[in-house]
Amino acid sequence: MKKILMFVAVLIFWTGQCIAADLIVFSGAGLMKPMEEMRQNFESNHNVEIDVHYGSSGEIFAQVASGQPCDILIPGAEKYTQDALKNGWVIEETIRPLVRHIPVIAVPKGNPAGIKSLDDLARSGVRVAIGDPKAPAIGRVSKQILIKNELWENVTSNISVYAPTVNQLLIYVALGQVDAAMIWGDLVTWAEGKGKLDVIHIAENRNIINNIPTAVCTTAPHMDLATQFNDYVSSPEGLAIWEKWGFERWRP
Amino acid sequence: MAALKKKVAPERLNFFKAGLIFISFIVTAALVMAIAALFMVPDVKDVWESLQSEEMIFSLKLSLWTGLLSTALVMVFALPIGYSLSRFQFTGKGFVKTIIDLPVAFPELVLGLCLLLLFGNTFVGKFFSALGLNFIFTTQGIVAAQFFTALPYACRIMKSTFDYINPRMEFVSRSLGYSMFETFMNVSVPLARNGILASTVIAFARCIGTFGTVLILAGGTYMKTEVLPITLYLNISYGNMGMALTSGIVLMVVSFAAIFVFEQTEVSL
Amino acid sequence: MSFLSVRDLHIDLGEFYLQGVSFDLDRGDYLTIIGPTGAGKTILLESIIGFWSPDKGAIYLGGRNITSELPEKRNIGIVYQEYALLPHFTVYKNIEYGLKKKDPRDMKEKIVEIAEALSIDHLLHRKPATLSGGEQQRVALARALVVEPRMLLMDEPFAALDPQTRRDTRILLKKIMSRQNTTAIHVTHDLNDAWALADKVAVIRDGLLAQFGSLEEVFKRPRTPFVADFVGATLMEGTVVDHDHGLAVINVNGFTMRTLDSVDIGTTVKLALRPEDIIIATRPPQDTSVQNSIRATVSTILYEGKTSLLSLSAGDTAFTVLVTNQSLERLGLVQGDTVYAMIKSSSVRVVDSLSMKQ
Repeated sequence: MKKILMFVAVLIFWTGQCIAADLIVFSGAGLMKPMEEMRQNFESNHNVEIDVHYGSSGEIFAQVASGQPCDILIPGAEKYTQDALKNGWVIEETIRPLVRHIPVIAVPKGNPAGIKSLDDLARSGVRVAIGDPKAPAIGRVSKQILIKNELWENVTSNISVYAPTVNQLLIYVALGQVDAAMIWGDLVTWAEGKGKLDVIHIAENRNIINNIPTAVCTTAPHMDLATQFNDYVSSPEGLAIWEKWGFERWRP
Repeated sequence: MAALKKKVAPERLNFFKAGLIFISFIVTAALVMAIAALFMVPDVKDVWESLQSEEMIFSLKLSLWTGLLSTALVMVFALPIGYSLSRFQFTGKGFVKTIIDLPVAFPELVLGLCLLLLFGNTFVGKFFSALGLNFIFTTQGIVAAQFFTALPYACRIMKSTFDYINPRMEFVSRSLGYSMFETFMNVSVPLARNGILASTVIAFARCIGTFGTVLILAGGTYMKTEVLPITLYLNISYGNMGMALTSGIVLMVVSFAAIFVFEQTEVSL
Repeated sequence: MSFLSVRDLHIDLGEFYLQGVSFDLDRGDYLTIIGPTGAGKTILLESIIGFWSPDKGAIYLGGRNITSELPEKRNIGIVYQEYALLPHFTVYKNIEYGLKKKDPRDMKEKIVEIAEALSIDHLLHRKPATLSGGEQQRVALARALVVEPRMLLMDEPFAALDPQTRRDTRILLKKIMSRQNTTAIHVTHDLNDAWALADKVAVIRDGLLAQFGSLEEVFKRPRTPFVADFVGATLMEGTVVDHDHGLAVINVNGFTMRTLDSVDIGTTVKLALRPEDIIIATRPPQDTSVQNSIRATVSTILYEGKTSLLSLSAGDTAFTVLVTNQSLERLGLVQGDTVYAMIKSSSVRVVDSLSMKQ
């Protein structure tokens, strides 16, 4: 009996330790690779523990909305940070655009359908996959880009799947089930490097480019450390890490 | 004759027994509350309106006909597979059994990915394309996804059903001049009636509830390959909780009905 | 060539197996197969009917090699201990099932006839689950016999029945079998089945045919101590001549035996003696409680392990005795010696034989 009580006590102490992180960061799931590297660096430099929650932008936004403790918010698109600002959840002065979130066209290795630009997506017989315009952020942006270029009407008939998740888009392109998919450039950098697929860039004047911003929450439980981490991810050292993982430094 | 009363020894409070029963109740209570929440949270009007929405009617209809078709196909295969696994000794039996059982253990998403690879650019995919069957991003794909997800469950139930039927009934039938096939139809299938009902019901519930496999193979496109679990998922992404909860409730009702019928058949899984 | 000929049958199903089993039956023969559980009795039956194909050996029926013939072509009937009636059919439908396939003419007449012969004509409309064990077994017999099979195989058909039902069913079976002159093989644990029904007996042990022969032969001259022990008894026939203080006095071909069992004076009975119930003395015993003491000659001695099997003969009657090798040595017995066999009257049992009643 004594042993059991000891065990329970240790368990309670241990879980308590876990909960008591020094800093809580909410981050878009697509940013995991650079975020992890920066977390490790920051932890060893400051001798602290950081708890990073990854989720889709909508999901982490909802978590902040529901009042969960959060120090730093780094969503996949600036729209979420702007909405948070309107609700008074983040401090305006701490908002820093970090890197560019650039939509690209991903095609299977060797580009079997010969896609060269957005216009080719409307060519008859081309199989296109885009994100569901109502679900992942890339879906909404893809539709906006196609509308902006007056291609939406013609591309619609070529769309064989509106994927509810971004990951499906990658799989379908990599397996050659579609001829092209519109997807975030940083998501396909790794796959391109591995030779799984090719990337066709969209001319900048025809594209819609978002930025990924960082911001400190107004109710941050660890304000001092939060400000330091916010500075770190936007510092030249932090930006170098972003670039290393395929993100482009933000320029308006 | 005097009525004999069974004497029961007065039971002492047993901490072990009480503890185990307590654990059972805690988990049951958590589940009951979780299920109840699904029914309590949305308001009735919202659910009623969601049910009548074009998207929900589409999803319901698609779920129903793909589910029925898949279940029929599953049973056409589960009967012979369950019977061979129960009755025959053959080389590679263990292998067949393991492979057919595999989908029970591995995630639907993985199964979906496997099927996508298979029906993709392989000769199998081309063979089916030549027959006019295209499984990728189509409603036919929903049927294929549901079929492979539900098949192992049906095969297991059919095998255990046939295990419980005395093979000597079949021996007698053959000694009376009936071939193996006639015996199967005259003796084995009628005796397996309860098992067939049970596995049909479980297969149907499994088909209707299949999410990951359908998502990957058929794409899960709004109003095209959108079955009930996809409706649930899509509407969570859209932030439309009314629709999401409504599809959850419909799925829950189907599961309850299936388990209720299954329990009546007294067949073991 | 004999009607059924099993030649050097080998089959291996893992748990059960047969090795080099050979025997022959004539048309109309009734063979009982006895042996311990797991000896391979059932797979012998199921090989003859064709549910298992032998690894080696052949089976001839009516002069034709049927080893690779499908069971449905062999026209051999089978009756199991657990009846194996089709639960979703009525009794009538169960009996009709085979006829419908094999000979659909005058089905009704044939079914009623066999049902009357087996006294189940009042049950035809019932479902098997509502019948008693004895009734179900008679339905199973009717179902097998109505198609007039070339042979009838029975796997412990009476094992699940109570003793009285067992006796009644046995008599019914005997009657119907002699009427149809059906060749039959009957696997059993109950030696009464052998005594009452069999012409021939086979003893199977560990997949081997330990002994095969006529009923008399196997029971009177067991070839190994195992068979002697397993068939469990020496059989002798005698006439009840007197009743003495509650014991029946039976004259067996020159000597008398007393038994506790009650039988009427004048009837002919079969007596059974277990080999281990007999005590051997080299001199005429005096001052003992034993009622029966028979002077006999040692005709053969068979050694096996720690025990030996003595075959004794008293006049025309032969019987076997089990003794330990130690006793044998102490008594210094050799072939041709004269001994006195002592048997308690409670060990002399009148066996459940039809001859009792006739």
